[in-house]
Amino acid sequence: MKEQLERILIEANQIRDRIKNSHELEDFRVKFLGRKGILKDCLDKIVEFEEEERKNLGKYLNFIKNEVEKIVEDLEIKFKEIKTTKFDFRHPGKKPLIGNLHLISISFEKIKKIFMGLGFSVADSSEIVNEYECFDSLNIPSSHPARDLQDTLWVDSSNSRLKNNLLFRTQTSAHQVKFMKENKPPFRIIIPGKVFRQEATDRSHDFEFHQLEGLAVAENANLTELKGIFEKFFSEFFEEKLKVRFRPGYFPFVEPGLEVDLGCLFCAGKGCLTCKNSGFIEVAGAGMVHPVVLENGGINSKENYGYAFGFGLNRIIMLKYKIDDIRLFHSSDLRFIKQFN
Amino acid sequence: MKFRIKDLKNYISGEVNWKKVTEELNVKSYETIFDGKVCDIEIMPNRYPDSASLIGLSREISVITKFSQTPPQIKIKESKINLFKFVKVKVQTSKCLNYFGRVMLDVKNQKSPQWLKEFVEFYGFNSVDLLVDLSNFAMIEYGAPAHIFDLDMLRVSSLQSPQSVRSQAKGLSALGGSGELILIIRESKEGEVFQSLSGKKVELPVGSVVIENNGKIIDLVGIQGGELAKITLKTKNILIQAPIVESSSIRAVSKKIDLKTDASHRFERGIPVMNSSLVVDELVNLIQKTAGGKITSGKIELGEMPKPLNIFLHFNKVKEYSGFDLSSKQIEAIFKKIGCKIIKQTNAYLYISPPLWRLDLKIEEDLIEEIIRIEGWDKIKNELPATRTFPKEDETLVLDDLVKKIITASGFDEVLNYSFIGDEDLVNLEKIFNAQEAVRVLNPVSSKYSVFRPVIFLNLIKNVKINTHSNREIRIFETGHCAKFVKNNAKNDKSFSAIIENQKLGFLISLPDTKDMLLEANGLIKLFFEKIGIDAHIKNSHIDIFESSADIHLDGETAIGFVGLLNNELSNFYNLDQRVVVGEFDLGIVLENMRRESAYKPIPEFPSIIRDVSLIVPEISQIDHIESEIQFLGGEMLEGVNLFDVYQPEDMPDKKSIAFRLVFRAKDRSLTDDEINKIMQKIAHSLMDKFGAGIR
Repeated sequence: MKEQLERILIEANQIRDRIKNSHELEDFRVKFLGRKGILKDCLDKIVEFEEEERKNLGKYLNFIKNEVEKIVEDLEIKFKEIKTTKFDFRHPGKKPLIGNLHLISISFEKIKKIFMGLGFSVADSSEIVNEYECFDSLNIPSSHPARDLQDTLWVDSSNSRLKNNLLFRTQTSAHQVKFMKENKPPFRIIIPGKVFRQEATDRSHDFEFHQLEGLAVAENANLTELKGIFEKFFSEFFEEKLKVRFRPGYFPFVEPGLEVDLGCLFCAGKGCLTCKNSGFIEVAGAGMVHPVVLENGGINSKENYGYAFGFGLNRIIMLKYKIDDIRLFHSSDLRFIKQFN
Repeated sequence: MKFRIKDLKNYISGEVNWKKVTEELNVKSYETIFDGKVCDIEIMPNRYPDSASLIGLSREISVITKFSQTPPQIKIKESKINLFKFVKVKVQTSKCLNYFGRVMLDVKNQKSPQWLKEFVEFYGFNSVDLLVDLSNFAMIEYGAPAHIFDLDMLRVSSLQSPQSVRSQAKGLSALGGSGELILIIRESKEGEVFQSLSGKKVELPVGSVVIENNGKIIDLVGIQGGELAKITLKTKNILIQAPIVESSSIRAVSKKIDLKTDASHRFERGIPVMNSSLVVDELVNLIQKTAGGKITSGKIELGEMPKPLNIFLHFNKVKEYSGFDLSSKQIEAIFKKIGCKIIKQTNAYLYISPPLWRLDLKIEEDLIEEIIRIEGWDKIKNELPATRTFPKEDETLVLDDLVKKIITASGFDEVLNYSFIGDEDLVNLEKIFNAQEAVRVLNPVSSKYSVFRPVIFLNLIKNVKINTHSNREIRIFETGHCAKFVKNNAKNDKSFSAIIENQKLGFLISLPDTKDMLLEANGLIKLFFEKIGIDAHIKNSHIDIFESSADIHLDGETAIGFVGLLNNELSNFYNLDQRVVVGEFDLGIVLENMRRESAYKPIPEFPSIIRDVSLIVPEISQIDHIESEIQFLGGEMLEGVNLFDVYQPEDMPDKKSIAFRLVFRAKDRSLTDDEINKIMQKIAHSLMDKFGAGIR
C-alpha cells in the first residue's frame, strides 16, 4: 500500500509540470482530491488495515494530500496572476539610466567615421606646444604679420628653464611638421583637438574651441582630391548634397592657399542672413602644403606634394544643429547636453 | 580696406560695371563687399604690397577683367637750383634698405580744398593741411608712405629747442645759407627718446631705425614723423622722403612701443621699392600743382634697386597641382597679363620673371596659384582619393572612445569645461597638487582661467550648481588633457625642464543620499576597470580635500587615480547645497596597463550553488580583510564573493551589518548541499573567531 501511495505522489508531481491552464488544473484537482478521486479511494482502502498500520498509512496519506493541495494552490495563484495583470502604457514608465555624450564627441565620432572611410588616419596631439611648432615651422616667422591674425595665450615659464617659448596652440596645424617628421609619406591624417586664443568671448567667439586639421602627402593628393574630400565630407556630415566653393585665401603654410565655402544650408544658395546674401558660408581654410613646411618636416618637396586643411568643429556643428551661441558648448548645462544623441 | 568707386574710376578707362568687377575680385583676388559706392576689400597680407592702393587695385582689376588701367602721368619740372645744396642723407644701418627724397622751395601751405579733405577723411586720416593731406593722398594712390619735413626747421634745429626754432623760423628764408644739413639714418641706442607727431614721448627700443639731425631724432622711420620739423601752415621749404625699412624691424618696434600707424601697417607687409620712388615724384608733382613752389633739381636715391626674380614653372607641376589641362600658350598669356616677363620657354617649362610690384611671387607654387585664380578656382574638379592609405586611429583616442562608452552606459553625462582653472582653485588643490608645478598662463583671458588644469574633477564641482535646478541626481564626467611642469629626475634637475600632458578621466556623482553615491562611485570604479581590463586595487586613504577617500592603484603600487567624498569646507567654498563624490583616473597609465588580449572563457558546464551570508561586525572592521578570509576558506570551489550590502544598524552604533553573496562551483561535477554546508560552517566559525562577527 505504501508503494502505491508513493507512486501517487510521483504521478501528481509529473502531471503538475504538464498543467498549462486552469481547466487542466481543475481536472487535476478532481482526479486527486475529488469526492471520487484517487486519494478518497486510497482512504477507503486504508480503513481496512490493522490499527498500527492504518495510523502510519493515514499520516502518509495526509502528507500526500497536503502536497497535492499545495500544488493546486500554487498553480491557482499562477494562473490567476496571468489572467489579471493589466498595465496602463500611458504610465510614464521607468527609463533605464543612460548617459549622454557631449555634442562635440557625438559629432567627432561621425566626422571620424567619414574621414576614416576616405582613408584618413586619426592622430592625437598635445595642446601645449612650442613657438616653433605653432608658427615658425609653418612658415610664420615672428616678424610675419600673419602672427597678428591669432592672438596667442602663452605659458608662463618663468620658474622653469625651458628654452623654447611654450604656448597653448592657436591652431591644430601646429602638429603638421611634427607628424611629418615621425611619418613617411604616403599618408592622409586628421588631427582633431582643442585650440586656444587670447580673445574676448561672444556668441560666435570663444577663447577655447575645437579644430580639425587635415594633412595628406601622397601621389594625387592635389587640389582636385581636396575638393572631392570636402564635397564628400560635408555632404555626409550635413546629410544633404552640398556645393563646395574654393576662393582665394592666404595662409603662410600653404601655397596655393584657399578659402573653402559651403553652399548655404539655410537658403539653398538664394541668399539669407546667415550667408550674408552670398549663398555661401565660409567653413575652412586649405591649400597645397608649402614646400618650406614639407622641408621642415623632413620631406623632399621636389618629390612630394600634398594638401592641408583646417576648420572649426564648433562652427560646422553650430550650422548643423542651428546653435546660435558658441558658449553653449562650454556651458555644462545638462539641459543642452541631454538633447543630442 | 575701403575704396570709393569715384576714386577708382580715375585709374580705369571705359564704362565699368562695378558690380561685375567686384564679383570677379571676390572669385579671383580677395573678399570684396560692394554697396554701390564703396568696395570694402579684405586684402590678404601677401597681396597688401601690390594691391592696397588705388593704382594697385586698378591694376589688379585690369588683370582679371577686360578693363584697362590708366595710371597717372607724372611730369616733373625741376628748377635749376640743386637739391644737394640743401640736404645730405647718410644711411648708417643695413635695416634701411632704400631712401628716396626730393626738396621743394617756396611752397604755399594752406587748408585743404574740400575734395581733398573728404578724400583723406574717407581713407581714415584727419585732414591737417594741404601738404600733409597730399602726402596721405599719394600714399593711398601708390601704397607707399611718404613724409614731409619743414626744411627750415631742420636747418636750425641742431642748436635750439623746438619752441625757439618755431619763433626764429619766420626770419629764415635765405636759402642755401650757411650750415650744411646732414640727416643720418641709424639705429637708436639705449635710452633714446623720441617725441612723435602725436605729442607722445616714447623711449625707443635699441635698434629702432631713426633719422638724426645733428644729435636730435627727427623721425622714427616707417612708423611716425617727429614733432621737430613738422609741417605747419607757415612752412615754405620742404624735404619729401620715402624710405624703406626692413619689415621685421618696423613690426618689432611698433609692437614694443604700441604705436601702429597706416604707414607701419604697410611697412610690415612690405612695399615695392619702385612705389616709394614713384610716390616722391608724384607728391612733388601734386604739391606743385596745388601749392606752387619750385622743385629743386635732383633726387636722393639711396640703396639698391631690387633685381627681378627668375622662377621656373614646370607644366607637369601645374597639372599635378590643379588638374588643369592648359596649353603653354594659355599659361603664357596669363603671366603676360599679370605683367611677368617670359625669359625662356621649352616644352617642359617657362622661365618667368614676375613684375617688381608683386612681392608675393617668389616660388613656383606662387605662380601656380596665379594660374588657378585667373583660370578660376571654380574650374577645379573634384575627385576622391585615387591612391590608398590605410586608416588607423591613435590608441589614446580609441581608449577615450571606450572610456566614454562605458561611462555613458553607466548613466553619466559628458560635460565640456574650459581647460583652465583659476588662482583660487589652485589654492584649494594645494594639499594634493604642488602649485609650483602648475602651468600658468602668462596672459590669461581672466583670473578664472589663469592655470591650465592639473586635474579634471575641479571644474566638474563647478558644474553642479548650474544643474541642480533641474536635476536631483547628477552624474557627470569629462575626459581631457591635464598638464604640469616636471623635472628630469634622470638628469637630477633642480628646476623644471618640461611640461607633461596627460589624458585624464574625471567624474562626479551627486545623489540625495550620501551612502548611495559612495556605493555607486565605488561600483563604477570596479565596473570600469573590469570592462577596461585592468586589475586595479582600491585602498582606503586619507586625501585631505576629502572626508572619505580611496586610492586606486595597480599591482606594482603605481597610482592610477583616486575617489572621494568632497569635504564640507570645499563644498561650502563652491557653494554646493549637496554632497558630491568625485573621482579621477590617469588614462595614460590605463593605456599602458590594459589587457590587450581577451581570450574566450568557456561557459560553466555544471550548476552553481549560491549562499548568502550576513554578518554583524565591529564598525572598524576592514571589509577587504573579511573578504579575503572568505576567499581563502572557500578554496577553489568558491567562484566569487560579492559584497552586496553594508549598513549601519540604528540600535548598534559601534557595529555594521555586511552581507556577501558566495558562488560555489566545481569544474567537473554538480556540487551537493552537504559539501557546501561544511565549507559555510568553516567560514562562519573563522569569521566569528577572527573578526568577532555575529552571523545572522
